[in-house]
Amino acid sequence: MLVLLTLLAGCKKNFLDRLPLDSIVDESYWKTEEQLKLAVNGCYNNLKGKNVVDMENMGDNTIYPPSSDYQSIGAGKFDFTNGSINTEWVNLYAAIRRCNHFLENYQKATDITPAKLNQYVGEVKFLRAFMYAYLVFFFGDVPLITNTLDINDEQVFGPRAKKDDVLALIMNDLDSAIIKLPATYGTADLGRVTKGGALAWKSRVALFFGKWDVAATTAKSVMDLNLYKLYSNGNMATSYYDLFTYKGRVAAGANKETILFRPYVQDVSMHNMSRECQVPDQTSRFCPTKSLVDAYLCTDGLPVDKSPLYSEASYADIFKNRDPRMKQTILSPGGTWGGQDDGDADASPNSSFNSPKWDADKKGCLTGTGYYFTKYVEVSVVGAVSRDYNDIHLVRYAEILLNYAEAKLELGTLTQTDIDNTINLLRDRVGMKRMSIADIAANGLDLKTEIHRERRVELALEGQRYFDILRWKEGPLLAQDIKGMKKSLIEPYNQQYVATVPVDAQGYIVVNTTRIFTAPKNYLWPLPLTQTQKNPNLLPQNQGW
Amino acid sequence: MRKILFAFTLFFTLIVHAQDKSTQKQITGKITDESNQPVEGATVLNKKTKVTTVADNTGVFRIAASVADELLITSVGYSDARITVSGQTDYSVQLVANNVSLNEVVVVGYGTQKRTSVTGAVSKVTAKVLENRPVTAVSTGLEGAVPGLTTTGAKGQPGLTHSEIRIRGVSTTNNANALVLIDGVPGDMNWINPDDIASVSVLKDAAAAAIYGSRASNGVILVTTKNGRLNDKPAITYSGYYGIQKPINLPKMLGSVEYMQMLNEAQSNVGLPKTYTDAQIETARTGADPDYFANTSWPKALIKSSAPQSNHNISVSGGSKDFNYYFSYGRLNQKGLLTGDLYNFDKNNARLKLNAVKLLDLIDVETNFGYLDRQIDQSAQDLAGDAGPIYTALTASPLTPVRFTTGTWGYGGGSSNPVTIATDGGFNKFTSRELTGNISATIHILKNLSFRSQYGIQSVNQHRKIFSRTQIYYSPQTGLPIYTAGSPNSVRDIDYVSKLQNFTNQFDYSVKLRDHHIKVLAGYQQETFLYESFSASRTNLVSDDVPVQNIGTANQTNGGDAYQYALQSLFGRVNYDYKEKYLFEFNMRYDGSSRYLQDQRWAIFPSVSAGWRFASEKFINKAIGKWLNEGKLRASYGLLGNQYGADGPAFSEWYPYLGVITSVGTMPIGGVLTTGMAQTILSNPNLRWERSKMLNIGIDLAFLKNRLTFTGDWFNKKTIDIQLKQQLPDVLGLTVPDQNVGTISSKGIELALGWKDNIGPVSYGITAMYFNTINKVIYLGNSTPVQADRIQWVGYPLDAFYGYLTDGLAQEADFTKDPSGKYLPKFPIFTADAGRVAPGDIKYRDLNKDGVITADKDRQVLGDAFPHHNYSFRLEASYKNFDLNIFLQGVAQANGYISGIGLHALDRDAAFPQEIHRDRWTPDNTDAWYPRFTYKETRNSGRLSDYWLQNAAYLRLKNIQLGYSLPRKWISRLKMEQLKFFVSGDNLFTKTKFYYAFDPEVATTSGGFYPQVKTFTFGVTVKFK
Repeated sequence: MLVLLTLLAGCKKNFLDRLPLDSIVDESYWKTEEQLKLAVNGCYNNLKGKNVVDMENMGDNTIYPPSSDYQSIGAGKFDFTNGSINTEWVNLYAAIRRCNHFLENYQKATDITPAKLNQYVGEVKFLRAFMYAYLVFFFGDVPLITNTLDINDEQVFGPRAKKDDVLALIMNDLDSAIIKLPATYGTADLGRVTKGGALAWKSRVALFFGKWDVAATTAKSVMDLNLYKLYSNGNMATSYYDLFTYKGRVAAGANKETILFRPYVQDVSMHNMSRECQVPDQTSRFCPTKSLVDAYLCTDGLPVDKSPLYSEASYADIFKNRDPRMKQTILSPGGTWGGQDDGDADASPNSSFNSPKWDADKKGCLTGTGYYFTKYVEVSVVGAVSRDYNDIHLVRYAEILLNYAEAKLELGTLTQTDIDNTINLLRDRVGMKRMSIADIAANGLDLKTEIHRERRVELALEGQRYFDILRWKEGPLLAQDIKGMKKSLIEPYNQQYVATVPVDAQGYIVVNTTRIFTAPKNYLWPLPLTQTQKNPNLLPQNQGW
Repeated sequence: MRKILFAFTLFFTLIVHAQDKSTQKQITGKITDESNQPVEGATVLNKKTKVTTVADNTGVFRIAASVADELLITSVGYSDARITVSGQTDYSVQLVANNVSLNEVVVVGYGTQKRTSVTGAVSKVTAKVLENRPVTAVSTGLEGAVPGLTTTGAKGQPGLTHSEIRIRGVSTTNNANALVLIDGVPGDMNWINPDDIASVSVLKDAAAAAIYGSRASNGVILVTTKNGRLNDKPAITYSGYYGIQKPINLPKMLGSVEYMQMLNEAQSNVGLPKTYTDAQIETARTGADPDYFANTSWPKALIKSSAPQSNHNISVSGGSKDFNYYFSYGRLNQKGLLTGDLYNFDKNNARLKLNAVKLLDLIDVETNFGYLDRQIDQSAQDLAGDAGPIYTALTASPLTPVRFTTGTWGYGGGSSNPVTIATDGGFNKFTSRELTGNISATIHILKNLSFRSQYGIQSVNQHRKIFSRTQIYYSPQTGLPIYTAGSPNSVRDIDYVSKLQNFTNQFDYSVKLRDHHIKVLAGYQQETFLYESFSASRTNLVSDDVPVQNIGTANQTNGGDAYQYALQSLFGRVNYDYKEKYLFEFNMRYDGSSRYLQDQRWAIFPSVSAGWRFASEKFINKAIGKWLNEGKLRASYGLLGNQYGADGPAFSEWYPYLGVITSVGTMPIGGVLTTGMAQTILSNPNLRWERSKMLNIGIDLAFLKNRLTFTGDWFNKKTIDIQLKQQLPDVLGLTVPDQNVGTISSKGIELALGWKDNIGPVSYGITAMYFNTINKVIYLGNSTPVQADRIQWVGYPLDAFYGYLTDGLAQEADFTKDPSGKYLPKFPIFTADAGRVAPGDIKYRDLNKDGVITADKDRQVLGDAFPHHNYSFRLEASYKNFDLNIFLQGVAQANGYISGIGLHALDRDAAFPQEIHRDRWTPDNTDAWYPRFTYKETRNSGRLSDYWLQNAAYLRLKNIQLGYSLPRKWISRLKMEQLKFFVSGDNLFTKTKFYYAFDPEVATTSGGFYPQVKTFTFGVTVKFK
């Protein structure tokens, strides 16, 4: 009895104060350099990666014949219930929240050097700008949230901010990041954004919104850093290809071209790109379109419809006398192949590619268009799911050069010297005939078209095509049928497998038809239904939706 | 195990002793009920001499008898008891109340009450309900046993057969599980040995449950385990069974030929080229290419036609004048239905109860130890998950063989081989060792004042080992790997340790002043819970056969987390009755929880109730007393609490008032796995208790010498301040915190009717039950509901099905054609569907008549997600040495929804046709059930509409058992008191209109469903005494 009474009396008044055992209360965080660093690390979670490549499906460079969210967006057959548009909204604002949380609290830290503090603030400002940039690319006007919100804040139900106001924040954040960020890091920090990364992103955003002068000067600033140069292994036939395999990983050391990237690490964080391109028992998730195949110039610098070097007599001929980047992007006969059996006469696996496969016997990788990608394919991991750890490049130096050339063109100040210092560096890497303003004029070509073509070809499968089409106001391109190779080029023994495949008047395979693009509606996504239901103040919807 | 056997042997030696014989002599005995109260007026018959006597008001009787004479003790409201006279002259007999009797003693919060004095809604389940049934988890065995109790989510997978128990439906968006106490201490009832259970009390209304205050709003279940009896000869009981489980429903997949034809049709229908040529279809038909054009039914290949289940149980009990004991050991083994023999459930229970009474004439000491060791084995891939064997059995192509002709595992892309996953994919072994210990002392300070103190601990050590093996699929052509899964191999070990400590002190006082009877209970309780986990993993093990950390060569990682909570409570109860005719009860609990900030931490949960035993009124007794034996009206009102938020075991559940920063995953930096820290959920310092107000009115009646009994209850419950996450805009950027913003009302009725009689030598009893609960959302704060397939919307039942209305399938006549021959529908469609709608598609109804179908304006609530009109029948009959039990249970109204591959075909690559898809819309079969196939388009299949809602009503023969006990005269020489053989069957028969491939009791699934099983068992019970 006495014992019990003692126990009762011994019950402390704070018996019910039970603090977390495995997490840190917000108020006691934000003190040390390590704590700040970990908070910055958390902000990197939503940096885009393989998802960027998936967004190539919205453009006209690639198709996975059955439907997908991104394909529906590209084809104009979607609405505000499309799952991917809400996912983007949710993820981007989640990332912005983390950035805002850091930016509100970092000043509390005492145990940190100013240099480190600058770096961390720079990283987070960049990341916030990165997320907001995608929001305005997709949706135009969006709510501008620059502080951490609580459930009772009016801003939670606030209206959208004007696109230009959001853009102002993006540019502000990027300018701040550019000043604060170091130009390089040691290997332990590989993957963190650098000064060059912030500049490069600024150049991309400026280009998207037609701020040509900013785009040009920023691109020039990147060039003037003298840190970056185009990757080359010394062999013009493989340098471009290698950049997108393990050899070109930034961590491998030889790549000075990649400026901003999402690193992947074996066993730690991997993606599935290679398998999706050449999956050995299904249809490739990335089938290059006729439109992309036709975009590659012939080695004489002329497009296929003008060049005498172009022949479509056989499948193999299509790849002959073309811009060398074509074979390093689109799989050509003789190329390295991970897709097991191809479309040759026997039904046995091949290690080098002969012809496209149409027979759905599950012995090899099928194609919807007649083409496959080789760019971004690391053949060694095609046989396993999600075992790729090559970098996903977000901005590389090649794009900076292209940005510069395009911005100068739009400003009306593009010179042959500029082209030599930009586009012709890209062409030199692969051994393609140099671009010359004079030749273009002489052949009756349009300089702007050729600059755009250069961008499309160089950056194919890097997730930029859809955004370029939008900003070039070339939306109607998306409404065109997606086509593949000429059906008549398919071997007689394979014809039975394509008997029901539709073709156009010229005999090209039609993979996707009845596509829609309505201007101005389709230049922006609709606000996700979920979001307008949660906050009707976001309305009105984007124009046309 | 060895220790247990040793202890068992020791007991056996101690308690079995020789007995001598002598001639007739006077013997005495005392008859008590389950709460040790004397049973006055019980009849004692010496069956040999036919002499009868009656027990006096202290329960004592005297009778002449010889050794081996049998005494039969009978009393109204109790089951008969028998004594075989031995050498001793002093006996004590404890009578057990009848199932439907009003004399029964009911376990209530912190005590017991006679059924006659209960004023709340309390149902009691006796051990008989669980007896001889192949119950692998106690919760499933309670289904249909109590009006108002439903079980949901039961699975057939070994070790995971338990269901969630709902008492009076659901009236919160949060944790709706009943509070379960085992011998007074919170615990998991599922894994205790069903043979150890003496009774289960279900406290349903505020009067009964308020004494558990903060955790009682979903009802309380009190499980009481068996005790030895004082002055009772030692009894050794063995019971066991062996059973066979057989799957009830399996999806019937079509063979390769029909699949290929249908795929081509589905592709043509949407303008895509056909995948298969006629020659290939012919190859599949002839079986000429068994590697690439096989014909496999994956559900058949994966799921065996039967699997065994067995149970053994042995117990020893007895007692002397001031000491009783109960000791038991039980073992259950349940094998899984999947090939590969990986699936297995083993459970070992041991229980030891030792009670000493009246030590120093003052103190009762009770000790109660339970030990549980259970192991659940399954494949490394979660059974029903998207990559698990059950789900992939529906997503694997029939063209793929189980094994290639070369003998290696078959692989056809798109989905792994489910048989490989179940056989070679590695395992997930979960072991749990749970020790529960209760020690209590009751001090009888005065004759009518006692103090009881109890300490309970539940210490749980769990371990999970997930060993993922590399599965390599080799090309039958080249012998080279074509696909590798689970690479690199890996092993992950996780230890979970938790400790729940409970300390209760209570005073009980009772006084009887002539016709006034007052009982007072006052107590203090505190509880702490601490949980910690630790995990480690490695990859690249040098052997695929030795699953230990030490042989892993790469990616060594580890992690850990921890939680804790504390509760502190004061509670009390006052009972008052006048002449046992007018009954009043007041309950109160004052609870504090560590889950809230200081200001919100404490709350009071009171209840009041009253009862009127009108049948005891003279004027009623005079008028109808001949046939009305008992009649009681009850009413109660009170407040109950719920402290659980919506997040489950996460920090937001334990510290929802704190903004905390936790470890989060992020992209790798510097080429290594990188940790980040971030806040992931918002906090709410104002969060406070969720509360339920509950009114209950009930009536208990007994007619015709207690042969006919009836209990009815009506309740109205309103849960306020529900902790829920409002649908707030995602610009917040974090998971929304719980707020006290919801109100849900719930009303229901519960009826139980019992009849017990005998026709000559056949005695029988029938119990029928009916109950129904309807809930409705009253308030959800200011947020607009997000319109998803399941919706929480003011004015409608919680989580109601929400979707489109349809007008059947479109026919040719519903279209015109444009010049190019394209179909132009005459009915409204979705804009996103433009150009794609054709005959055979579902016609959605344009509710707002604006000419287009839109997700925001053309959907409505389609139906309630909860089962309604629950009913059950239980028949018990015995004739001589035979006894028969039949138990039927059903639901008269319920909705179900099957989505994805469970129901649909060819709307994605991995959705294969089933036999029912033969009745799809084609130009030749316009009167079809299933819409036309549309390859990779989910316009018909992916939108929830009334077209797809299933009728999940059912009637099921839950259990039937037949037993035969050998006559006592045959077995008494072997010192046996009972030798009984029985056969039993569970789920033998089901009548339902539900979708053929799945089970109406799990009415919402997307296909990852372990089949429900029917079980046949044969068993034996032997009792030595």
